[in-house]
Amino acid sequence: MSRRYDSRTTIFSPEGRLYQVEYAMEAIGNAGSALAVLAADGVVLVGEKKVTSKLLQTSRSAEKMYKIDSHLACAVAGIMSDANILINTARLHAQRYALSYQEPIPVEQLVQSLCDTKQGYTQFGGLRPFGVSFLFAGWDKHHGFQLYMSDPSGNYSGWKAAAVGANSQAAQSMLKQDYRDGLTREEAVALALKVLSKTMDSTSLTAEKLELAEVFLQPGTGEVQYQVCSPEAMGKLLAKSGLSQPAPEA
Amino acid sequence: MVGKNCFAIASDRRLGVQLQTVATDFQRVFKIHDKLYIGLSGLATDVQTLYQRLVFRHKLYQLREERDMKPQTFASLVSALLYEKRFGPYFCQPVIAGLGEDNEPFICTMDCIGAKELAKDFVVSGTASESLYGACESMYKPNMEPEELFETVSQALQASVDRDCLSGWGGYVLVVTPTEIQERG
Repeated sequence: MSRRYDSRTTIFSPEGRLYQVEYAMEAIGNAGSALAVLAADGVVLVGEKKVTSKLLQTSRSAEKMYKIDSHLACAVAGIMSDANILINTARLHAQRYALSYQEPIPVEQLVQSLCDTKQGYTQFGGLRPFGVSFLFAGWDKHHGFQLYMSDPSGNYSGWKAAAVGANSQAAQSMLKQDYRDGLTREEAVALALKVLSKTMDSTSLTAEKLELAEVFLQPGTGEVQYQVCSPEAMGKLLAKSGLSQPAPEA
Repeated sequence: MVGKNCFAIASDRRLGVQLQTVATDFQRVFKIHDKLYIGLSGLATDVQTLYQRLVFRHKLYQLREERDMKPQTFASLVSALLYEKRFGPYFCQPVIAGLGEDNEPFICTMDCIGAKELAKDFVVSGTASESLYGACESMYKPNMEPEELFETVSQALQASVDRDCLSGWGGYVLVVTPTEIQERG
């Protein structure tokens, strides 16, 4: 019935939907989840690593979190290869802005430019959309700490707490219940870990399955810092919040 | 100038238009990362633009490779960037100084189209470069400690720029060791 309208990105279906874009979002729904929470003094990004095999070579680089500029980072859910292209584009765009204006790019502008790129793939060219959703976290002097979520359609909006990837609906509603304004970074980390532990498919949370990063202002210098939590610190955090035990049998 | 497990990089502070002095606080020595500095002499606009372009390239390098650039690699980058403009060059002479692997000091200079000149002792550039060559040659000793290196570099700088009407109006010396960075205006 509507199968005739889903093979090309550049046409609407009779119901007014873009099927390719929706299918892209389906692909993301199968990927590892990522959560972000905006705190008063920073932004917390948490990601679930889907593939943990003993054979995987653990390199230094993160799988879910990427730094885009010194004041901007993002968490990724979806097709990793698509994400790499977009992150490279984002990094170049941020540096070109800094070269022209000699100041760091405002967060919303970077998000907007990336979303404009994503939108292009839904309207012309005949190429499929990117199968990635992003959670952008950053700080700029205009609006302080900010969190944005963007999806394959090229839509974006600012959020206080957001989730993408597998079980994002459940995670989002849980965040809605438990989020309060004016959280500190520590409370935001605890909230993010709690929500993630409830929505993740696996039974227990271990440091290898998670990635945690924070964007905050360095207390002494006031510079924006992006810090990825080390596995040891991760283990301590999980133990502290009592989440490292496997879920009790029903 | 190279010392024992350390290096010093220095410049004067004058910005002038032929005989008129326009500023006495012009920055010519720039940091790329904690163990890599570049000094640029020549046309002021090219000094600033070249520095900004190098920051652009280095930041992307840091993001992609997740590490700082080695001084030798950076020197190659500067050389390539300058040669790109072979037939319309940047009017700039860079002096690059850094601590490489195992904190081994590295210095080099190049002409405005990227011809690298590596040295083990000292490199100079600018309008007073001939005086600087003379002063450094006579004052340099190998394996100087940071304090002595600082004194030597300051004396060499002062002696040379004093004999050049287009240089001077203040000096800036930076001594970098593996553990700390000392700046003196």
